[in-house]
Amino acid sequence: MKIRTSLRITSTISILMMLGSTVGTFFAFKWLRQASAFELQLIDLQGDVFERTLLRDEYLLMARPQSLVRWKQKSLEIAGHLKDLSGRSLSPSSALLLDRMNQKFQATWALLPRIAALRSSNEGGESGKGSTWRIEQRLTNQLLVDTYLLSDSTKLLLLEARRDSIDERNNLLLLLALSTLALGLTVTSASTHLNHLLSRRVAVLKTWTYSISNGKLDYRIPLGGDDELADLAREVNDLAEKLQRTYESLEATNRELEAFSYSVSHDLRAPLRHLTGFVELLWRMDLSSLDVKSQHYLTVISDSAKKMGCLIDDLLSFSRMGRGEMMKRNVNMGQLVHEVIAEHAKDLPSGRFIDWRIGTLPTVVGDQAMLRLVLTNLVSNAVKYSRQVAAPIIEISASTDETHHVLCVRDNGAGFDMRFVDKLFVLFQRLHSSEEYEGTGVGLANVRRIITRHGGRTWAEGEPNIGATFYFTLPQGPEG
Amino acid sequence: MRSMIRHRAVARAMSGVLVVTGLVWLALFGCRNKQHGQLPTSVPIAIACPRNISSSLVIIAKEQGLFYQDGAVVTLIPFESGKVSLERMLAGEADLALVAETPLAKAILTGGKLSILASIHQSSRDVAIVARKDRGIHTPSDLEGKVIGFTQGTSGHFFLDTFCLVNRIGLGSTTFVDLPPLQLRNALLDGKVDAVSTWDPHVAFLMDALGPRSVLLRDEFIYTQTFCLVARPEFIRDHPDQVKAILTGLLSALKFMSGSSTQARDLVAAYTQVEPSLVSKAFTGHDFDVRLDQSLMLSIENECRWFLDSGAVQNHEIPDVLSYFYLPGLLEVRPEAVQVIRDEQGGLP
Repeated sequence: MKIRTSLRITSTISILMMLGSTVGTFFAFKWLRQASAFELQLIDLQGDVFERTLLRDEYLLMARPQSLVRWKQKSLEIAGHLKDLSGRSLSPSSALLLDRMNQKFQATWALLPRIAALRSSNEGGESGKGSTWRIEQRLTNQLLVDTYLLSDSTKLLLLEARRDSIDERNNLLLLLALSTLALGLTVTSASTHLNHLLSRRVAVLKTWTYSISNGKLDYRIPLGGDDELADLAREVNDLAEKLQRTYESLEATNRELEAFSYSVSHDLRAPLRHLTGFVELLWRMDLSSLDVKSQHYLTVISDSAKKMGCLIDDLLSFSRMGRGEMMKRNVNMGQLVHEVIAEHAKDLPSGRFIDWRIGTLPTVVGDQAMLRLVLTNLVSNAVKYSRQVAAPIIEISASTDETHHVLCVRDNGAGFDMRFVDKLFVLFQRLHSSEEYEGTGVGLANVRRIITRHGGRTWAEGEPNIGATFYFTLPQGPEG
Repeated sequence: MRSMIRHRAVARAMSGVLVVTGLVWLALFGCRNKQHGQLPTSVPIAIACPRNISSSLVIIAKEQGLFYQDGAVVTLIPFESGKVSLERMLAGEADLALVAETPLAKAILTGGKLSILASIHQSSRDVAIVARKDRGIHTPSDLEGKVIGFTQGTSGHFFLDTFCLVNRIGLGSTTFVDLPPLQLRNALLDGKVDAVSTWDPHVAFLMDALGPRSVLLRDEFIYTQTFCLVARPEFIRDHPDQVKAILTGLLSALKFMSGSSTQARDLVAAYTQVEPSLVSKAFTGHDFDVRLDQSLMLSIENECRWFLDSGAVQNHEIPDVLSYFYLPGLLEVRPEAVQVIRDEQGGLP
């Protein structure tokens, strides 16, 4: 399922749940209000029943006509309440109680006026007084019984209404709690699912990136699912496929170019050897017959041939750097630096002093001979370009980032203009003239090629007459 | 495929959770039911149960197995009136009895050893006078000078007395004949009496049997009959759990009655040996409920006074009726149904 579809479904479910919850809460609240209103009405009714009972007692004990009038008024109020309640939808037990209340209200409504009628009919007459009194007694007893039943029924109905009201309140709270829980569970499960999906897919992409960056161009993301990330994985795999094809094509071209330059360099050496050989032979001969100009021409031919020989040697050396098999092992860069410095120290003219500042250097995995060449090139450059300085300082240090060791060689020599920094590592490109500083412009090109083959990179910073700093990185790998 | 496997795993996990939840619920409810429904004892409880509409709740609870469900094995011993049922219980032939408040008042006055567990039925229409029109009776005043049948010491007797009193019927010129309930029916049908004061289902039966020749004389406002379940005090003392089970069964019967009125009617008809249609008529205006309230106490006290005033019982003092109410039973199963003005204690006399 697409992530977008999944999110839409989750949103729809959440919205529906919220709507359901809102509707449910609305009705639950409505029912709660109805139950509370019913309860309040019954409290009112109970009060009226109690007051009516007091008025009844007032009449029976004091025989005041006003008491009977007020009792009837209160009875009419109760009748109104009962009529209202009869229109309500009630539970079977509440309906039974209301039915009993109605019956007992009717009974009491009939009895007290009968008692009053008996009393008034007996006023002033003595005949039959005894039986009238007995009737009144019997009816009063029944009135008391019916009043108790009315009062008890009202109390029980109020109790049920109160229970219903509490139930409705609890239902409302339960509904709110369940809605919140359900909504929370939906959102949590959806976000957990998405989190799980995304983190899994991102991990796969990360693995892919790591593999590709480490040269495993044939690595492909395992395909699964039909969501957007699966689509992305398919596109990434296609991209990797194209990248691999391009890389293989470039590699083939590069190999051809390497072979071509090697063969050109190699093939040029033979005629050049002949040229220098014959010039040497000429020098050994008696050249007195030649005028000065001709001798100068010979000298120029000889120097140019030697220079060309140096260039061809350097070119071959550069070519070999790209072709030769690497013999990787643990290389103690600190020790290597000291060996390289020692070699250079021997060649320093007497009286020249260099302040070497060597930091703690790591042990790396690489081809020791190649790395020696890197250090030799960088150190010899530093020595060469700081020879005009009165107090030369050459500093070699190292640091680490997440994945690589970063080494740098810094000097306070001639430096260079940062505008031309791009030319520094290009073959045969030089920022200084050979008259000023000797060299063919192959050293730094070799440094870059070696470091690149080790999986690192190179760059430089400099300022004219202040100095230059050359950086190179080497991967942090398991030390053997 | 991986996704399918994951879904299956989720489904299995959810099924597991559901099964565990189900088992926990089953265990909880199983335990609750087991606690609630104790195993019935082997000793059956004998209830003296008159063939009256007022006995409906007990009849339904017995026939529907509601007593048994709550842990009580019950047998019903049929009698023709509550008065006889009470007498047989006091004689030791039954553990419990169903009786109206009138015989109950007399029994209390005469020192009967009993406790009232609950009232189970109340009606102002149950007791009435059925009279023959062909004997010139159309209104209450026509009863004067006639022969009226009744059963002494019953609610029919008290109603008749009150009816005559309220309607000022001269007792001197009228003849009152004391007969058992079933003989009352035959006496009216045979014309040996002009009217009878009796209760349902006899009222409904006689009205049906006499048809247009009958007239029903009833005053709903002068008397309320209350039918009660009573027990011998020693039974309550020895079997408080059984008392609770019986009261719980009656409450279940109440629910059954409101939910399945036709079935309830048929069960009552079978026990009272009356046509179901007549039971339906008799059900109208009846108030079936399980409670103990102040009105019952007052009714018993009033009728005790009536027995004393009429000279039927020679006694000078009315005992404390509250002490005959066994409150703990109903308080335990339905506390709100106890509406008696009292202190916190209530129990055996």
